[in-house]
Amino acid sequence: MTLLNGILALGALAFTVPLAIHLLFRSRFRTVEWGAMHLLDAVVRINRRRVQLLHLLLLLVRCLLPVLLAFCLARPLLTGFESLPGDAPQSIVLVVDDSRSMAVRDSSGLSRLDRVKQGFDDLLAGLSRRDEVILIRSSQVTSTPESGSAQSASQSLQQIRADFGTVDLGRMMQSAVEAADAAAHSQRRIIVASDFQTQLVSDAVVESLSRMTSRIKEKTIRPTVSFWNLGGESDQLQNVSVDSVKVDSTAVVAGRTADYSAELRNASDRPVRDLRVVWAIDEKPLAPVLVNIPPRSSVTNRLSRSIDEAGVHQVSVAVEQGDALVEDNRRAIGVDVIREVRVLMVDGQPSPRPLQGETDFLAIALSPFAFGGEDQPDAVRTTMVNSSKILGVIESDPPDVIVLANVSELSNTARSAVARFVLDGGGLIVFDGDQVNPDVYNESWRCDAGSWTLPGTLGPRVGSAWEPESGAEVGTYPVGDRNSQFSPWDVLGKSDQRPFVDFEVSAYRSLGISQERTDGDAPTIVLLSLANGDPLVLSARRGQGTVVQFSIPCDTGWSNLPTRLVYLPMLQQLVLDLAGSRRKTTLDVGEEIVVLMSDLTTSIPDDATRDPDQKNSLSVKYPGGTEELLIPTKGTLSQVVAKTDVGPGLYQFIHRVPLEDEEPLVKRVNRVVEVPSVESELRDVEGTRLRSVAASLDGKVFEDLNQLQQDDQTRRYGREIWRWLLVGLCLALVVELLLQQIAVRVSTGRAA
Amino acid sequence: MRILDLISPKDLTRVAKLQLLARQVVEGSCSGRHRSPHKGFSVEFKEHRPYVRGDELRSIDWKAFAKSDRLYIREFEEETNLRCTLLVDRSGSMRYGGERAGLTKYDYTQQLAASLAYLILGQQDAVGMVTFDDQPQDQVPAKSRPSHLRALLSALVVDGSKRETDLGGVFHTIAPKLGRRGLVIILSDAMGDVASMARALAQFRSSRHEVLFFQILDPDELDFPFSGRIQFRDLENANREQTVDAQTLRDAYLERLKQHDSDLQDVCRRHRVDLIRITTDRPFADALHEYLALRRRIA
Repeated sequence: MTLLNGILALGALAFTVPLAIHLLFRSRFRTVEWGAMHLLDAVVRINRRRVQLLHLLLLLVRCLLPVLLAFCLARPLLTGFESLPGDAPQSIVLVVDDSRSMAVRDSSGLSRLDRVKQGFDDLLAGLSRRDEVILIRSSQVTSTPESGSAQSASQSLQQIRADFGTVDLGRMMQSAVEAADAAAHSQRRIIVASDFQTQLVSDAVVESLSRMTSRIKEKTIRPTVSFWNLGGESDQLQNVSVDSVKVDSTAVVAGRTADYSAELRNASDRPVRDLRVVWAIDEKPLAPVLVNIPPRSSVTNRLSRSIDEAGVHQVSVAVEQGDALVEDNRRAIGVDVIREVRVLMVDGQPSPRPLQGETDFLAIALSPFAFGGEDQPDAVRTTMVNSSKILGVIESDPPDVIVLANVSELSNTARSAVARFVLDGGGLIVFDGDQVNPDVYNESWRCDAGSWTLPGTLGPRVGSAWEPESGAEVGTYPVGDRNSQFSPWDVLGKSDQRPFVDFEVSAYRSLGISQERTDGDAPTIVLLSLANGDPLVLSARRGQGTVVQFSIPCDTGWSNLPTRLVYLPMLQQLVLDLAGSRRKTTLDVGEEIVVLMSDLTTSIPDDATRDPDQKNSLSVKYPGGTEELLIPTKGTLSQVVAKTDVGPGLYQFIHRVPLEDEEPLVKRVNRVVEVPSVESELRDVEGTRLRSVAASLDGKVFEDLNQLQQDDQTRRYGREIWRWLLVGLCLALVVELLLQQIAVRVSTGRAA
Repeated sequence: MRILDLISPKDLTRVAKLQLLARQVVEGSCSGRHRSPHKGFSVEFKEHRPYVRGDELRSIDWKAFAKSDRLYIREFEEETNLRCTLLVDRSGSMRYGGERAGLTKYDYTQQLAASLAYLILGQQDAVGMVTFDDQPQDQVPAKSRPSHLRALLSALVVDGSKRETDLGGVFHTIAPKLGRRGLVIILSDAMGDVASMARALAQFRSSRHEVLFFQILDPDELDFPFSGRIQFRDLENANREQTVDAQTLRDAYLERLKQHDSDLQDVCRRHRVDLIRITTDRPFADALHEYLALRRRIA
């Protein structure tokens, strides 16, 4: 304990005054020759002990009064909490949660992040020049934190926006502790400013924090941890949000109508009526629609629209509603619109007669409008070749999907080309048949980029071929359930609608699913099986592509599938799914955007000439319009990478090829970055849970920065207790008066 | 020793004018101003009663016989002398005298006793005196001669002792020696065991004495005006002392005094003893006058 006005503490010696008076009072007395001793004796005998006790208490209280007054004036500080001298330089690690939920505004229009900025500004203003400040944004916990003076930290603080997703508390603390370890001063503080939503403190986080705690406790210099909780009553806020925007169509083909849906949620207790919902494609708004959302409910709003131009387009949904978190009133996705699905069908048993070729039924199913002579464009353009020409077509006009239909075998170069095609992201469908050589198919498909195997190991054929002309009766195998997880086939109907009820199989290839997989091979998924459990359709990811393997042919040789109604949507959806964009066109904020250089390359028109004196330029245009040049390094020539720390929005990758005497040729690739919708689910973590987590780190939770500051003052400089002493002084005065009264009056009662 | 040494002339004049009337008829050997329960020769006719064998013939009212032809005895009220005994406490506790009164309780008692003696002798009544502390000390027999006052005053002027009071024991000793029924006037501060005192008063009453109790107290003993640290030394026992914070004990003391007075009053009321509290700051003649006025009303 130290005293701010130590000299005044000497006033405590004044306690000797009442003591001296007491002693003097005891030694000096007046003598009275008394006659009524008969009465006095009884009174003294009865009251002696009590009076003595009261007098002793009175003496103590009277001695205490000057002591309390002196110490009160001396302003004592309890410094039991002080770990270092109060004026020692300190390192402060400020961890700021910049997730979207921090943009929630209160009634005054001030967001949680604004409060953090104001509060930390005040805190930083009170620091000395020697103090070190390390600022960590939750969205950048993986980056090296900024370390500097309070002034620079204050400037950086103002740049923070609440436009990012959730980063759990464990990662934040991990980063903060590492920064504290590297701090310059031995007095270290970590202050985490967040609204502490439930997703921030999950069970796994608590577990990881408990492990971290043990590590922290082993450190020689342990930072003090403080949580500044800016949340509170989040579930009471009035908020309407666009939780998701999805493309319902399997693939979006240029010029063909695709379906989109948006989930709108009303998190308030009041219904939202006539909410204006505005869809926009590439920032061009469509006609608004009005929707009603009951309280605490969600509604789905749908849009059917065609986009004529291929490429990644931004489809967004916005609601016009003033609420606590306006930032989540708009959500966008990147939709990869493909020009058309090019399917290369390799027919293992071609025939000039209609519907006698191996792929005839499949061609009709994939391009029904073209087959019917209608003007409406088909989503799929099929090209039929025999196995000998496959290599040339792949090289000249790379397809999106290759179909091998009852192909006995391929040349090594063709196999290698197909293998490379799959690894680069192409889709491959393998139909079985009587010409298929299982041994050849079971071998690895190799190329210089790697190798892979089919999802299922081909075994012997089961059953007999379907020969309706012979009239012979053949046994059939009923089809069982489809894989409900495979969404492209959702259009076929639910399981209880039994879409495959009239689909019969007379023969099929026994496919074995090997448990031993080549390194890098993804697990095999059964898309459709027979009622007896044998797989009918298998699927597996191989490299960037996908291989789908049928145990039956695509004609009517072993089954009646091609003649069933389900055949057309089943194959269409399958092909669209395989051809659909595998590119991740919508990313969560904070993720890295990876764009293949192949997507950015463009062919120079025949009438143009590339300018040999200038280099191609590659840049990224961030949301807000800032453009930055990208310099592909040697190791990343095949792809470019950009960070999304600017925030949500449209990121545009621009490849410019200089031409002679002309404007440069420009190829643009878009990506949309969004904040995870979980940020709109405003739910505070339970106070007890948060305090428990803080306690595990030997930290405290504060609702107010002033409390936090006060706690720090107490820890660093000690706790001023003059107010308590003043209260004690007042109490002592009251007690003294009471005792004095009691000393007189109690004796009366005893005597009576 | 003269009476004027004890009483101022002014007081003496007032005392001389006072009439002491006994509430009860006191048996006396000579005629006086006090009614006697004994019927005898006197000038004041009381009543006739039928003659019974053994009555003296000279008591027969012959005129009544002549008128009624029946024998009646004439009865007269006889005035008797008052036989008064003053019991004067001169124990140690009576030596207390506060600043306000300016004299000790014993000084006051001396004056009061002298006044009473002078008054009673002036009425041609007999007055005796017994001084006492824990034992009877000077005893002056009751006589009605005016010259007896000197003997009484001589007994009074003896200085008070430093011995303790034992009113009950002393009264118990004195009571049998008082002889015929008469008036007993006790002059004391009554600082002692009330229960013991009650037994002694009962003994007086059983001897059919009229008892007047003058409780003489100093004003300090009534309001305990002391403050600060005081060492109270017992006037009756030099070895006993109490050093206390007087202010702290004041209320308790007053409560105890009140209880003592209450007990004393109960005892006196029970034994039909007139208790008169007199403080030494009051002129004793005033107090005596009030008492006699009260007795006159009762009579």
